[in-house]
Amino acid sequence: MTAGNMTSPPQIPGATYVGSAGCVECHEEVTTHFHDRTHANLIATANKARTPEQGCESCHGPASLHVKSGGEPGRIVKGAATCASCHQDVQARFSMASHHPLKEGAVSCTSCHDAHGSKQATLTSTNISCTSCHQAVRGPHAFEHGPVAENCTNCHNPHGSPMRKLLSMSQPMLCLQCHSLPNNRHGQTGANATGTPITAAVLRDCTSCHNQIHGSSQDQHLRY
Amino acid sequence: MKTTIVATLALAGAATCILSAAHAAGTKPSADLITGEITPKAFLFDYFDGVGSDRTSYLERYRAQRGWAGDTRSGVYLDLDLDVKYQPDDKQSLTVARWGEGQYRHGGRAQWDTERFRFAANYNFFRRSTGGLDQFFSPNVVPGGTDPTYFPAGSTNTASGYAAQFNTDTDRTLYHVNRFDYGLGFTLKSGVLGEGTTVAVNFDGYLRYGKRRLTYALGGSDVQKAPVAPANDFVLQRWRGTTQNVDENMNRLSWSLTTSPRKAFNLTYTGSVEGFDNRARDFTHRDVPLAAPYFYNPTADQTRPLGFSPDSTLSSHLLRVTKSVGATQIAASYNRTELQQDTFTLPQTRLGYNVGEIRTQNAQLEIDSAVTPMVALQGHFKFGQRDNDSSFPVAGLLHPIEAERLGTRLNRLEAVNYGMAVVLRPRGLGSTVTIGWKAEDKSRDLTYHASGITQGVSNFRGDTDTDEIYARWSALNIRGVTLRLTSSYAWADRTGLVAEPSGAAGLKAALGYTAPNGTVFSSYYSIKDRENDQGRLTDKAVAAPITYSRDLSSTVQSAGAAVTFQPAKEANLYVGLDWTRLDASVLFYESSRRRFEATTSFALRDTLGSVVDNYLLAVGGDYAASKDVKLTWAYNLSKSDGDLASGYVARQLHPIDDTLDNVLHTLELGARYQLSMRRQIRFGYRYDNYEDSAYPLLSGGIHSLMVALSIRL
Repeated sequence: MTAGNMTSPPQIPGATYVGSAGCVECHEEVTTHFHDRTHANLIATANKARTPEQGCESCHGPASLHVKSGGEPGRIVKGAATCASCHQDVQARFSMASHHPLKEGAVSCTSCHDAHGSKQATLTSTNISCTSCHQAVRGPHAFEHGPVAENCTNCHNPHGSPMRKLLSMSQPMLCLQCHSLPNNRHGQTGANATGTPITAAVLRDCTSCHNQIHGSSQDQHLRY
Repeated sequence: MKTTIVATLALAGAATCILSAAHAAGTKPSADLITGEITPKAFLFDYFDGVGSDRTSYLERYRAQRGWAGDTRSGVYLDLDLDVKYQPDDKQSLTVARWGEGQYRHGGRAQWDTERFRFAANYNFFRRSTGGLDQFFSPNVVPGGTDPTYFPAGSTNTASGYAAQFNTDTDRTLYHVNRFDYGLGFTLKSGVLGEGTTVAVNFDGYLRYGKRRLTYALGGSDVQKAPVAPANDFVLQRWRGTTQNVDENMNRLSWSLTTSPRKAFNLTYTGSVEGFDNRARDFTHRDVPLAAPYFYNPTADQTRPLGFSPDSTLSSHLLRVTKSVGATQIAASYNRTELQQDTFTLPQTRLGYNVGEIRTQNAQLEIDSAVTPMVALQGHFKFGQRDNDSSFPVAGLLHPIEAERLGTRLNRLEAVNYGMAVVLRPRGLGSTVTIGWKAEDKSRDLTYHASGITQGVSNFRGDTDTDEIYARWSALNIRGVTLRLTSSYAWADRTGLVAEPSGAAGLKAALGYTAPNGTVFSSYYSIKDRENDQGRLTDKAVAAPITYSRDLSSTVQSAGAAVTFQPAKEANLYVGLDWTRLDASVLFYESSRRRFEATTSFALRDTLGSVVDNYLLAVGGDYAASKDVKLTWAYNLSKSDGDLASGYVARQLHPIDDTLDNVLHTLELGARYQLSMRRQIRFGYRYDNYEDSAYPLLSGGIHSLMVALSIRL
């Protein structure tokens, strides 16, 4: 396994490292098979000479106060703070205008990610992860939108975006990556020719008409 | 309010059940065995400089509030946090916790933990009002949202004239959706079924309800007018908006087994079945409100749906086996899911579309072998398959030779991922170097429209073949310094989607330093550059077709630095700055006709670019003024600016749609005063001010004040 490390190990004022042995007593379902999971690479054991064995505390911070209190949740690093010590760029995205409401308490990192598992262990696609909460858009759809069927992140950044609706790029550029605009339905004159004016009314928000962008039960053009 | 009460009662009920069970188990609660904290809170909020209560405020989108008197702009309300633990002995404990900030944001959990099992219950309630903001961007609200020149006086344009007018059936702007999540879980620990074996059963789900905005565009002949003369202005009725109810329920039962039979290998199995029930009434074209002289075409199908979302059932099974042989770890996994459509639209049923089914299966093998203490080899192979087993073809609905009734259908997607890496840990350097290669081959079984959307004009191709090489250097805590550096380069011989890169280069760097005095410094920089120069479009209109490239590129950069330090024994300070830049370039093509039509020619209209910067400044700290008084403060600034498009598109769009220029200031001040050993009073003040220069109507702010009395048990 590849050993990694965090840029800033989490700290808890007044707490000291006690090692992972005590964690097993209460958190066995996490610790039993953790050794072969992705984040097991982070366990800071490589420098025992200068720092004590940290194990679980590499991410959750020194646990002496947590253990002494009988497991009080407030005395250990958990939630988004655990992840943020390494994934700072992701944390910054949750402050963007459009974001999953993590700071507001509606979701947590572990709503989507299994920090004690691994991508290989779950084997599920990004879409299965997204639609475990967003069932309303999963279909099955008679008319699928190809990039949506393959990967939600073709259009969305799930952590946050300056653009509305977590879009990785604003409309119409996002749509124009793949699609050309037929003039006889989007041009000012409706002529079967190219070069006629196409104005803001049809350029600014493609989903105003193509509302069923995630897939439609009826319409190839995803309008209804 | 109803859901709040139900949720609180449910949590109390769960706690009562658990307490009863604890009693039944022969233990008797005693005051000194109960620890924790109960915190009644009072909130005051007041919006300023923004829209009134008849519209959604920008700052309400994730933080909706309502006073006791029902006012959503200014009010007072009470709430209660609690975190109580009952521990009669070392072998079992009962925890009940709740947090809340008003009736739109609260959650709770209860857990009974013993040596043999754990029983847990939880809930979370959240109101999201982002739909209300959508209304600010409605075509009938935004300047340039409709264009009268598309249907000038006396026009008979029926092809694109719909863009001249947007018809909204509602003036409602207070769209919001509530979500109430709930869950129950039971885990049988290894003490019962043997060492290393756990069994868990969970039930979870949600209720989601509210209203959302639905827009749609009817077909060219769906709306008619009597008499037709003097103009075909019925086309102006095609583009519409309405309010759609949201009323959804999802329930999921999942189970898992983790065991190590005779410690020979580790096995994990998880399974789940989940049902999604869309309980809102289905809209159809019959519901389109047309007033005389306009009417719905009597020969058109009025049973066609509007915004249909089917009920569905998803079942999933995952098996994972791992085994260690000497210094080699082997892991094998298999996963299978089946998604079934349970309800169908009237046209689907009538036309024979009665199976909606997506199946996926994945299998993976991983090997990780430490050849020597300093060298390890890793390899993986993964196979994934997605099958669309829904009814096909269906005459009148989904058919490869009927106009406007197919496009391109993805029948099957197969993906094979494989790769290997070598991991080097040079002795004494405290570093790990990983050099690896991985590849992904995708194969798509596609059905193109027989005479219309051929591969030449489709956005989809059959194959994707991508290779990637990467190198990673991790230096562990060397004299307080940690460093991670990852670089990668990917290239594709073939891409099936324009959105897939034909070339991508990435670099991620993170540097941290922890000083002996406790000062922590961290920084990072990452860049991901992607391009695709393999997309093609081919004219269908001329004898000698012209092929056009479909190039696009994007670069995402982010950088940040943060420092946490202790300027005095009683004080902590932190400063952090993050920057993200999204830079993209795409080609804007227009075509003479829709792609399924016989003679379609393409023309490059413009090259579009977009650059958006996002900045985040966070500073704050705490100060222990005395043994009993602690002060906290934080200031966050989040700013976005940039152009969302350039060139031809930018010239058409109003700045509201073309520009980002906004800043959100948030200031938080807090104070805690220890009244006695067990009582603490807390004050909190929060100031949010959002300024949007591109769309000033969204600007506004809010003052929030909180007073809490924390009682320690």
